[in-house]
Amino acid sequence: MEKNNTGMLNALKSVFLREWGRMTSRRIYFGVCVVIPMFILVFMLTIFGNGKIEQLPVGAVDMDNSSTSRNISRNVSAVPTINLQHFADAATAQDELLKGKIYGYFVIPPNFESDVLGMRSPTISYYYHFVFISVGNILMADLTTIFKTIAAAPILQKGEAMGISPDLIMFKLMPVQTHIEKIGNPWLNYELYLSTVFVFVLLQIQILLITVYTIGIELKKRTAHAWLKAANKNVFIAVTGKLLPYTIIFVAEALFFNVVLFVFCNNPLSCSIWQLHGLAVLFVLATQAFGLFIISLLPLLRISISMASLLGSLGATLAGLTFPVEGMPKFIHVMSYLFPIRQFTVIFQTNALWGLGFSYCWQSYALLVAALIPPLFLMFQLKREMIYYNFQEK
Amino acid sequence: MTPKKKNMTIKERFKDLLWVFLHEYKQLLSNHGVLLIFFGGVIGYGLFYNYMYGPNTLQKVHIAVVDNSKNELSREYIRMLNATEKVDVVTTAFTFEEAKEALERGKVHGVVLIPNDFETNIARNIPSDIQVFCSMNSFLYYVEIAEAATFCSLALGTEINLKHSTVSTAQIAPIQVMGMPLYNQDDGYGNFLIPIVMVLVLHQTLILGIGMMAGTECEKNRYHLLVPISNKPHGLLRIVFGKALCYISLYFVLCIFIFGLVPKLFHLPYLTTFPDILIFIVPFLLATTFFGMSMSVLFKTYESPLLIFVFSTIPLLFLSGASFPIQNMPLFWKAMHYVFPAPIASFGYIRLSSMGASINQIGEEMTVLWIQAIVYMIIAIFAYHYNIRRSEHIEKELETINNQN
Repeated sequence: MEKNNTGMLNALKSVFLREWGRMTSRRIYFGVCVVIPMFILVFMLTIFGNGKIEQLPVGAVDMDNSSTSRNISRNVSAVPTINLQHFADAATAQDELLKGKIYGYFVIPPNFESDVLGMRSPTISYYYHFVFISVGNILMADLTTIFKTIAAAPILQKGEAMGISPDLIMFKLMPVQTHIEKIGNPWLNYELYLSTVFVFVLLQIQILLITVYTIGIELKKRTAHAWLKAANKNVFIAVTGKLLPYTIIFVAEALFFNVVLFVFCNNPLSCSIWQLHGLAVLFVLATQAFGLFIISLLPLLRISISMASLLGSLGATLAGLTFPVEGMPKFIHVMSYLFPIRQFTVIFQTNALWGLGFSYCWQSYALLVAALIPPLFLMFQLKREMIYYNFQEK
Repeated sequence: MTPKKKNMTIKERFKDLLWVFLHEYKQLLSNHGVLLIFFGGVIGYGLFYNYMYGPNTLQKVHIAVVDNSKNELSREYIRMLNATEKVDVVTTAFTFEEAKEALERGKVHGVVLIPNDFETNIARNIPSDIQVFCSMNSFLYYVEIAEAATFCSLALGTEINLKHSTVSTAQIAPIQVMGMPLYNQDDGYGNFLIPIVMVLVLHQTLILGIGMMAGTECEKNRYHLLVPISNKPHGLLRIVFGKALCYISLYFVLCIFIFGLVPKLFHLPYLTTFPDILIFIVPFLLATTFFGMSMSVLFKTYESPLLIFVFSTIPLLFLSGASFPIQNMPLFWKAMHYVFPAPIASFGYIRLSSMGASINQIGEEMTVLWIQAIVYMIIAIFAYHYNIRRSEHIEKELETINNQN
């Protein structure tokens, strides 16, 4: 028994070293496993600037050009999300909107000031759109707030002049007020909201591809026999020894991501970093298992690597970060749970953003662990392929 | 072999070009992996993404209401919330603690808290506060719930004013304001994302496919170089344009499918005209094809473009500036927005299709795409030139070795 164990350990070591040699002999492995993940980290950390959407170009069409209308423009331009640009007429502003130069505009009609004084209640119109959805929503909310405030100001003044208390006027303007608290990301910070998960969405693609590739290439190049031989004909050792170098690399990178995102960049974190590290290990293993499942099921490199690409790219959608999977067709919702990145996202949000414990997302942990099981059923099929491929005609 | 080249007539040159073009098609049709990426990728993703994002907007987001007031007015508020398309009040039975727990467990995505002094405050002419707690797990939960709650508060406020008021604010309001959403009025997420994803799908599959074809050729080719295997000599330009023509002709059809048919099939916003789409497709296809061909010389095996290029879809999506505005990006990424065909093309296409911009109004994007087409064409020609030189060089060396033997 003892001897058997050391034999297995030696086999594992020889497969591991064999893979390490293969991996370091070609530049593409370094590119896929190290350069691209590091690029991903740098990209996701820098693309959103300071993480906030601000200074959006918005057009002002002031056809009155009075002190009142200029005052209104000044008030609008004080909003942090707005960077005001002036246009002579609505047609020019609309043209700029379609050119993608501004995201919205407002129009103060001619004779505005005299109409206000003459109690003819002129209307300021403001325009926005939801073609760029996050910008559209932020602009709609901020434009609505500022223009409601602008409209309320003279009422307050007038009411006071009429002897009505400001409190009563405020009540008349808005008897029911709404206060909204954003749980999980009260700062509406893009970096915290997207980057933290998307580095793993992208890492997932690399893990899937390299797992499929490193096994598939042995079949394609007919070297699987040597691989199996190094593992003492034990397919479990063969697969473990082969994938282990990548596990080490990707886990190291995932931990590095965590440290950079939450220690170095000071993003708020509501759980211990060790908990995140644990999640990262589980996530790397589950994703490798997913890749192993794909190549074992379709042991033809050219097909399975295309499949891995198509499925890996779906991870971005199925993480459920943007459009929630619950809102998608039932089939997609169910399918999303086959993707380790979905579990990762749920656990990350529950633990790291909401600061809730294990008991709030144990199902997702269980699914991540369960992801390790399906490829085990295909191991003997993979072994057959490893042997069969060698006898195929060249 | 070189002197022969110079004496070729135009007809011969054309025949040669046609040979390269047909040869590339033959290679393409026998390469199942590339066919899977081209047709599976474009048609499959074209349909699948539309299916996934078919619901377009989140509807009936589950929320819990904690009604501490429990009277006619608070019940009216809950009725109003339920009447919106946006939220669905799944329970009003919870205490706040229970509701918070449901929020944390993901059973509801928002909690609306009606205070116990809700009606008494209103009766005393004091504004009442409704508190809303939104899950930020998706930006869209927040958008839907916040909008529903704000809308209902305003509507209930108007109702209260009409019932009790002696002075209507409308009568004393000297300034009226009116907000208007111009495009994608119902705030649809599918309407926003699908046009960008469609451009990306075409861009990525075309570049991957060209790279995979080049990789396959390298693997098959004796010298691991990028030149069609044949005994006939082919001019540099005939090789580059013959191959390019193959991809452009195939992707022209796929572009028509994605830009012409898919929006009709899935009722996506389509405010543009077919001729404008055609004018847009030309530089987009040229730029992407030549960009793909320039990149393809880097790929020595069939798998390498997949290993290296697949991840770039998401960075390219962000670079389009549709989800996070370009203005807020650092200078380097702002510049990158103009380097690749996909980000610039998607920023143009979405305005074409969803906002009804004219070709003139996406003129900046059109110009950049044409510049890209020309620059990448030149790079592709140089890259192929280098490859042909090397293959000729190796061939000569082999010849001398053979002669020595």
